[in-house]
Amino acid sequence: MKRFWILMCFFVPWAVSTIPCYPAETIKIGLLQEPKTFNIWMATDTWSSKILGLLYPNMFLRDPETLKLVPWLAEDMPKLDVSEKSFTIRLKKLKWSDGTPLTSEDLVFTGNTILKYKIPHFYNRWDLVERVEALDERTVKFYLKELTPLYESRTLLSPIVQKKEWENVVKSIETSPEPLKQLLNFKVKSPVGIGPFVVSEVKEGSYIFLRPNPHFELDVKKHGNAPHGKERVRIPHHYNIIFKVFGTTDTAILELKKGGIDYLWWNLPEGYIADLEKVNGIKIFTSEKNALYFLGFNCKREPMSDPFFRKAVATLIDKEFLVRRLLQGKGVEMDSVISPGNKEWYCEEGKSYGKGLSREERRKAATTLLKEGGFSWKVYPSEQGNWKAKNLLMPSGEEVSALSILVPPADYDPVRAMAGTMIQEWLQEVGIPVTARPMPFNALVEQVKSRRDYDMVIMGYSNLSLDPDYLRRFFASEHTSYKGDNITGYASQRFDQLADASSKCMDVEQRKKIVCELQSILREDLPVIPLYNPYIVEAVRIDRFKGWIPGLGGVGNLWTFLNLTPAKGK
Amino acid sequence: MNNAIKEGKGPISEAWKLFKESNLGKTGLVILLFFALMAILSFIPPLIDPMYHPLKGVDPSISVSTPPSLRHWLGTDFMGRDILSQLLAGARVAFVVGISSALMSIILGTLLGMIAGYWGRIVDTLIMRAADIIMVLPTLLVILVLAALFKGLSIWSIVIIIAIFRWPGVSRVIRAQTLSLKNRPFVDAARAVGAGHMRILFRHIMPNVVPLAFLYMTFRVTSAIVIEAALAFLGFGDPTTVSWGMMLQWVWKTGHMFKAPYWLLPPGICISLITLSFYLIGRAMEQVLDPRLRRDWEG
Amino acid sequence: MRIWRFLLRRLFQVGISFFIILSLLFFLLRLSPGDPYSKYIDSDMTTQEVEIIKSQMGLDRPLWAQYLIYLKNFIKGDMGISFYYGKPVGEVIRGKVFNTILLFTTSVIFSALVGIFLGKIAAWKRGSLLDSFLTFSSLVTHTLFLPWLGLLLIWLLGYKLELFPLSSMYTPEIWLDPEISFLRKLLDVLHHMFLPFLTLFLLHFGSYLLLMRNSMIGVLKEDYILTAKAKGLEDKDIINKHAVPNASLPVITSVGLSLAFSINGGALTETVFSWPGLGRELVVAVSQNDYPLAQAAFLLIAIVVLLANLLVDLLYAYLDPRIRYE
Repeated sequence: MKRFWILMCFFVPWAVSTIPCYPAETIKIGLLQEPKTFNIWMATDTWSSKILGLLYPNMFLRDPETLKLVPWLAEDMPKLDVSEKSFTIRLKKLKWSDGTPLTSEDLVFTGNTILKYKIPHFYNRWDLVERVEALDERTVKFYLKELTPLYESRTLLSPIVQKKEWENVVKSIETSPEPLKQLLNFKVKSPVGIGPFVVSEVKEGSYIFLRPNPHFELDVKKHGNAPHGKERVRIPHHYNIIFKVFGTTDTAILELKKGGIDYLWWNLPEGYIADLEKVNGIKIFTSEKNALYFLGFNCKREPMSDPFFRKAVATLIDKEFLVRRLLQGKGVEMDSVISPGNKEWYCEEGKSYGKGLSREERRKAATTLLKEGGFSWKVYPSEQGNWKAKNLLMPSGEEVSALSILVPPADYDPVRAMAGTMIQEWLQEVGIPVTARPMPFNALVEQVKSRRDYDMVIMGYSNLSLDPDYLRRFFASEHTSYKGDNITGYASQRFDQLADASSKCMDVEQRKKIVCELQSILREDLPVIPLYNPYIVEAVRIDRFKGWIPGLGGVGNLWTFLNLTPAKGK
Repeated sequence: MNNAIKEGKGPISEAWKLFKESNLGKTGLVILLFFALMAILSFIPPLIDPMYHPLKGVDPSISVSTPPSLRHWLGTDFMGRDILSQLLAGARVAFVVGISSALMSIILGTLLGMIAGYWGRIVDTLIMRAADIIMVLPTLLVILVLAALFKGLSIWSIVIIIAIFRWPGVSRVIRAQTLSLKNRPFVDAARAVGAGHMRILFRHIMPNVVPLAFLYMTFRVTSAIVIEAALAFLGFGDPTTVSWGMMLQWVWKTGHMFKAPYWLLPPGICISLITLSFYLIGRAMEQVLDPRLRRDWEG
Repeated sequence: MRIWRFLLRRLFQVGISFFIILSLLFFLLRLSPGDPYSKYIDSDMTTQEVEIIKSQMGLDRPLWAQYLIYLKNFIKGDMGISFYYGKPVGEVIRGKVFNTILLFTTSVIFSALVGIFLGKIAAWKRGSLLDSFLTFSSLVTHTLFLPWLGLLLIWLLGYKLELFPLSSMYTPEIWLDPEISFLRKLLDVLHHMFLPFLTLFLLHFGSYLLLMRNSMIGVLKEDYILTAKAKGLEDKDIINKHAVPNASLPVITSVGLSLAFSINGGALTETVFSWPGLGRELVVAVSQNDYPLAQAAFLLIAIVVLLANLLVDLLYAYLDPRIRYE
């Protein structure tokens, strides 16, 4: 008997110690679509990026409040060498989720692979890098092709992959006739990452289970007070994550109400916000996005090519109405292509059209503008009451043929669809023969971006980079070519010069001035009319987990995940 | 089937008499007339006030989905558009889609069936084999795949594609009918007089297969309407047309499924009822054309 | 011997049909407007880089070359890589086929059985109130719009009465917990399956009922039934042992013939209930313009339908000697 108990004394602790110490708490997060892959090169869709963002944080992150870059995998901000056209980064002493250390070899490998195979969506973050060199175990030097400030918002905001995990794959594709395809299609079951979580179990189409990464470390002292001052970033409180995939928003929100999930990682449809606000234990967060929704003109077609026409249209559009009615107040009007929330680069200077004017006044102002431009009507707009203007004539005397505003279908984006309808009504009042035409989204993108076959279109970019270099991509004349982003066909020499200078200007203050002028030019020339920037509204169960940190783009950011703790108990 | 094949007039009024006796048929007809009325009425709301336009009309003071009220008898959808006018417009779309698609497939099927039956041999084999392949495929899925290729289909493309995939059923029956007619005395007589193939086909055979074709049309209409509704429901319909399927898609995708029964129920009921009505009419007509069935159906 | 020849001939026809469908799909796909590779292209890329991507996807070779490669791959069993998932199409499909089969076969079998059973009763009690009720409800349920029925059931039984889960196939908490028994997990799947199953069942049993009823009425008039009656056999025996087996035949064969209809319904049901099956995968693939996946899912369904029809024809041939000598 005694021997039995002695044996037990040895056996039980051993047995207990081999039981993996899994955390008891699990947060349940709802997704609206199954993430399609865990292969980081392929995972460019929203849902895969959300999950992989927890496994592969970038070298630098943005502070959720100040939006300034914070070194994450790097020890400090990069050291720039202007004469050499290079910058140097020193990595922290971190470990991958399989226990091996993060070294400069990993970073060099990542960079070289991206550069060699021109991996889509990653390449545009690295294409300004000439080459990378490992100086020692944790130091890497980046040589730039030319001196440009853009590396900060592009290359630094890039993840690192583990050389050990990928080097065999890369070696095997070297001899393949379709290396990129093979790389993108390589199956990854459980990626080796350097973020706070690892993938533990997946049931296709249903759920994904993440556990804390046992090798994840966080320098609490250094980051303990970031962000927000009030909230402290802790080492992840040892909770698991279940991602549940829902087919429709309805069912996901119902689950949220019932407590089946604690957070729906998506924007809430308007109709549900009031409902959810009433539920005890649910909190609604409204965050800003860096998005831009606009009315684009095909500047190569008449009458859109006429600046007076564009200005008249701008005058007729009541942006405040759009934000108030279509977004239910959950957004901001945009006058510049840069959002006011982007405080570093936003510039107030520049023309506004029709601000604060009533419908009557807008119509009058627009008519005046059109007349100034040489337009006329067969049936003139009457000044009192009955605005039945018809048959707009160009300065040449030709009648303006029926125009269309392309919009996505109402079920894809009700706001854009409605905006199209409203704008159509406003323009028709002044005799501009325009109709809003819904079109299936893929077809719309095809027609506008590839074929440039449209009059006007309402489009949006929901996740713009904070760095204003996208102005160059969207409006510089060199990008009007095939698959370029300049869909309007806008070309201005002054703009081109300034945009080019901005991409090379290393002095922040000077660059700000240049960017301010760029914005003014766009507000004067109006190749697009910026319309609105919607907020993102999300609901969380704060009775289950607390420590949610709102940031640009919503509550589902890395800071939140590092800060969450179960609401009950200490 | 022989009873229905008579030369000269008469069959239609005879058929109508029989049809009237069928309760099912009458019910079906009544329901159908109701929808036809809806379709006709659909032109009225936008004339009353532009805010009643099903696609573009918004109530300036409403921008969310609201329950039925005096201004909007069935309430509004998520954009503030009137649901009743959408429902009426949907009736119009249903008829247009259903009837044009059915008509096209009937015409196609009748022609091909007659040709196959009349000429026989290679032509017959080819047409029937093609019919076999097409008939077997699930139409909805075929159209889905085509929608993927062509990045969205307009309402007329949908109508045409449905027609192309629905002719086999008709053609089989027409072919059988043609086969039996081919060697009848009146055809021989026509040939003896020197009538060409075309004349025989169109002057002599066709009038006798038309009643049968007409019967099949009712079933084609139903399936066309349902397929269009299913496509719209899945999000592959024509976004510029307001159909009942499209309405269901909107209520589903905008998250109002649980909150807006006044929006969820009407379109679904309409699709089901119109399907039912054509089905009943079809069954009643079957009785008319096939006496064997008459006794078995309580009518 | 004749039956083997018949079988071979029909198999050959199935093969040809399938080949035609396969080729048609290929050409339609390649000739359609738009580029599937646009998902891979950054607008920053130069035309040269675009060409590199195109060659990676094999889309720069002449059409006939692509066609031959396509056929060759198909024979090897390689259906291509899904544009959306980045995984081999076969792998994506493999995960979903079982789910579809589970839902589909249970609902079809159940509705056929119930249809036969109730049809038998309706025929026997012809003219009664029960008969009218059964006939009427069959007509009504058969013409309901399937997605709408599904949504309605979710609303009523899932949301209002909270009896069943609203979507999908599993409850993650149950499946992730290693302590929970397999039986409990199985029950979870069945619990999730009930509503989609009910939707399909309600839609289909009606047509089987009506068919069975008609068929039974016809059979009951046959001579051998009168003979059995004359012999003094009990009604119950007459129905069940003599009438039903013969009357059920058309119903069973109609299961095969209406396969296309049922499959359409399956795809819709899976979408409404987010049931992770092949039909839903096809719909998702289509909305993503992922045509390797859409095409493969469709081909799989096509071949199943073709073979099912072959089976039905065989059954007919076996049972009705007249057709064999066609």
